[in-house]
Amino acid sequence: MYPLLSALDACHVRRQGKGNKVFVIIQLIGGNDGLHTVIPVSRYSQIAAARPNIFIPENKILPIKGTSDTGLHPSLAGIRDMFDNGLAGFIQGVGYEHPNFSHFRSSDIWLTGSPADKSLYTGWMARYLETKFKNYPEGYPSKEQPDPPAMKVGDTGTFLFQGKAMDMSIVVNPSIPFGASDTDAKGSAPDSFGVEEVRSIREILLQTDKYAGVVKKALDTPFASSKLYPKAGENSLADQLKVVARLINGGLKTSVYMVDMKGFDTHVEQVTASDKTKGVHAALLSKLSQAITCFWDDVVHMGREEDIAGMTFSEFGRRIVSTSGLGTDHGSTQPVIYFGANIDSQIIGHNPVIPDQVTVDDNLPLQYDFKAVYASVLRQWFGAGNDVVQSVLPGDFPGINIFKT
Amino acid sequence: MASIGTYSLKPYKSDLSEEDLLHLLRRCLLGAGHSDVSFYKGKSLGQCLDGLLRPSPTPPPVREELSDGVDPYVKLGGTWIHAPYESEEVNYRRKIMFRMWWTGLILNRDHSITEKMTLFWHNHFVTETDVVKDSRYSYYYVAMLRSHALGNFRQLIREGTTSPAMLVYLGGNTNFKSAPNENYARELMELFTLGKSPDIHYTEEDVKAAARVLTGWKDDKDKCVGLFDPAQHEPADKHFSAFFDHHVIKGREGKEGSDETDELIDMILRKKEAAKYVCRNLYRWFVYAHIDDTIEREVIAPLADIYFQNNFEIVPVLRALLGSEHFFDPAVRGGIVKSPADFLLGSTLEIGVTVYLAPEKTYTTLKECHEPWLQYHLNCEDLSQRIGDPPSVAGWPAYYQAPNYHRWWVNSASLSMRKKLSDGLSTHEGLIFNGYSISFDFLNFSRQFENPGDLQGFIAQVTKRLCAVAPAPSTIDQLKGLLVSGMDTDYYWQKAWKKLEDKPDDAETKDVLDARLRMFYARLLSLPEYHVM
Repeated sequence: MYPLLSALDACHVRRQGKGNKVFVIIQLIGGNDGLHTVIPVSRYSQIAAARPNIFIPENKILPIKGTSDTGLHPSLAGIRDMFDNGLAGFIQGVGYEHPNFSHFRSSDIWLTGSPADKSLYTGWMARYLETKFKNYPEGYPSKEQPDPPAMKVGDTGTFLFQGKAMDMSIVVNPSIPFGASDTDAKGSAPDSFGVEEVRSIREILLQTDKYAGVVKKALDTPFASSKLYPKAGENSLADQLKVVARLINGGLKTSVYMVDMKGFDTHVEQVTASDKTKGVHAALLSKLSQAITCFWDDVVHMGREEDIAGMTFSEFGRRIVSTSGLGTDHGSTQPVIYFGANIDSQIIGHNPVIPDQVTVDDNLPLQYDFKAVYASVLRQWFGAGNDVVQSVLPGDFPGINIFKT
Repeated sequence: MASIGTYSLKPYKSDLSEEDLLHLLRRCLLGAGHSDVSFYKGKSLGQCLDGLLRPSPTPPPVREELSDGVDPYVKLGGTWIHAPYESEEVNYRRKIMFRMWWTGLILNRDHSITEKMTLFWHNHFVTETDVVKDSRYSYYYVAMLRSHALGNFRQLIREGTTSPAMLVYLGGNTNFKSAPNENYARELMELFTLGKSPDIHYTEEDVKAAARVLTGWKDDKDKCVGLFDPAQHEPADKHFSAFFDHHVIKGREGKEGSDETDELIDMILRKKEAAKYVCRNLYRWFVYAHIDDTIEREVIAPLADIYFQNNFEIVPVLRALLGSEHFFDPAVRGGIVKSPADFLLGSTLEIGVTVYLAPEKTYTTLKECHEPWLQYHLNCEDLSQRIGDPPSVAGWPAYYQAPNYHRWWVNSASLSMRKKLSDGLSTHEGLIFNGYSISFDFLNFSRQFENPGDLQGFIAQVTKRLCAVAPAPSTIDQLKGLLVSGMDTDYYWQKAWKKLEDKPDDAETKDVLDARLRMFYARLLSLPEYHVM
């Protein structure tokens, strides 16, 4: 090859960030109903007895490749296709010992990686990133690590990236131009010197934000997003993942992205009375499936299948027994969906055991501690050594084969 | 451009709204905390001004704060203001104690404007601790400024002129009849009393004459005072220009030569321009940086009349300005960029912090634990305001450098540093120093608002309290999202507070609320809206 061409090629690869592993975490806020997501067909009758007013009719469950024991909610066609093509997998019964049913506390447990009975004050991913970005923020961005340690796409930051000294993420809100505020959008004359000063400080802050330049540059890098995406505003998760793809394509070397989706706290009207495959939860899953599918189309378009993987989680699953309001209460474990080309596409674990006489207090038994899932991501995806994993997630967590080995 | 509605110095309405009160307190105190708000809430404007303009009690003198036996003259907790020193090391150490003392006074201030005015006077009538060198001098100088902070300008200038700190700082102690040093005489007129505006026409000869008036003063290391040495005093008459109505200060021999200094200051302060000059500086400090012709005519001139008529007593001027319709005009609110002291010491005073002593993490307060006082000093220095050491005899450019003025405080470096500090103070672990850490006590701050479980009401109260300019609705939504962790409902937020009410010591509930509050406030404190007052 001509030297110049090979240099150009190297530039191209570096700009594109090829070879830089990226992990995308999707938080389903509110507590996703696992039994209505990855459906244990083999326990159909017990579940139907426990939640007769909401359970998906058996003939509507989406079959998946390789097993007739487990199927998917009919809204998850896109995820089903990814599974059938070896691009997605499920981990059954993920949670933790002594489940806490408070949204806030349980989110904190999942985001900090703490045991149920002890508070931690930093995000588990931030603790991992701190091993990569030592003494953050002192000395960053640097020549070797010019990009933000983490990116949060959505309207707020997350505890996941709360480091010892500060939040390690840059937040990009898909519905507001990066760095702007809606007082700027109005363009009207300020009514006080205070507004003028605020505007001038915001200008400086934008220049000051050490990562604003690289983030803006990545966002502005031309990229033809997948045509599969719905219109902006129709699917907030899709809007967010579209931005994630754009940032990755723009060459950011950031290795962790987090996005989220609201509305999973389905105490009532999870399904419609007339059609149990419809309703709030079905709409959410449909958006989840659509968003991941579109995102993956972007990944393929970028040629980054080998580098990108992700998972979903929710602070808890829901109760086996339904409520009379066509919904479900806070529960314990849930299935985790993971995706990527380098994952080991399978169903890890077994269908949850449902007691014969289910009471309102019964919960799905724990199969995998969520910290074991995290530990596997760190080990298998990021290649972290045991000492690092130990320091990030104190405790002993057996490996789970999420990725191809 | 925003436009000012009223320039009137007529008293503003007596019955203050909460926004009015917060505007007043933000400008007069450093930060407006719960205790300040509850102290003044329900009081009339007049009563509020009475409280603000009441001098704080004289504080105990500076002391050895850190250890026994290092300073050979004082024990831990003892004062060194009368103690000599032989080595520069001992003096250096005392300089650190002096800096701690000053930030300590601010961090433990009462509800008076005294600390804000002491900073004002030190920016107006500058000395630099590092240039003065003798830490005792710096202590006496600042103690003098504090004692006159709400007093008489004539006395303040008179005492400052012959204070050992000033004699060292501007070379008054080398101003001998054989070779006068004009440095102090020049700054006395140009920076301390008259200024250099177009209507000021004193001459070079006036500066020289004033320098000759001031010959003979020197600092005395034993007593830490300025002493007058008649042998070094120029006894000839001193003639001044038309600007001073051709005044002649009659030359005096012997001890009486020092009376010429009083006469010089009286002569300068017969000029109304001196009152105007100080009033302009006060205006920039308390109201707004940019003084146009209308402000000069409608605000500065009448204030200067009050100052002049009251023989340079500052309280009537402050009362008129801070109680005026103009001061409360909506256009000026939020129009001052916070100084580092307003930002850092102010946030600490308004929110409150917990100090944890390593290694057991014993809880303590800034009243009990003095080491952080020095840290606060250093952090203000990191933000470009080294309290006690303005960058030059002119003070901080934020108060004189047109056209930027207060915007001088904020640039990429200082805003990053502000964020680093507020982020650090917002973490659970806090900003960590050698042997202790400091962390905002957001839970305690938040629980003092009315019904914090009411999410909308809570955010409204907090943003009203902390932000002089209301954040945009999208920002409010973002802040809200942090408190409810993305849930669509306020219910769980409400529930958590209810739980805390039922079990105020429940660790899990406290942790859950604390985690959300920390993310919420870290974001809030980094908003541009928090950097103005």
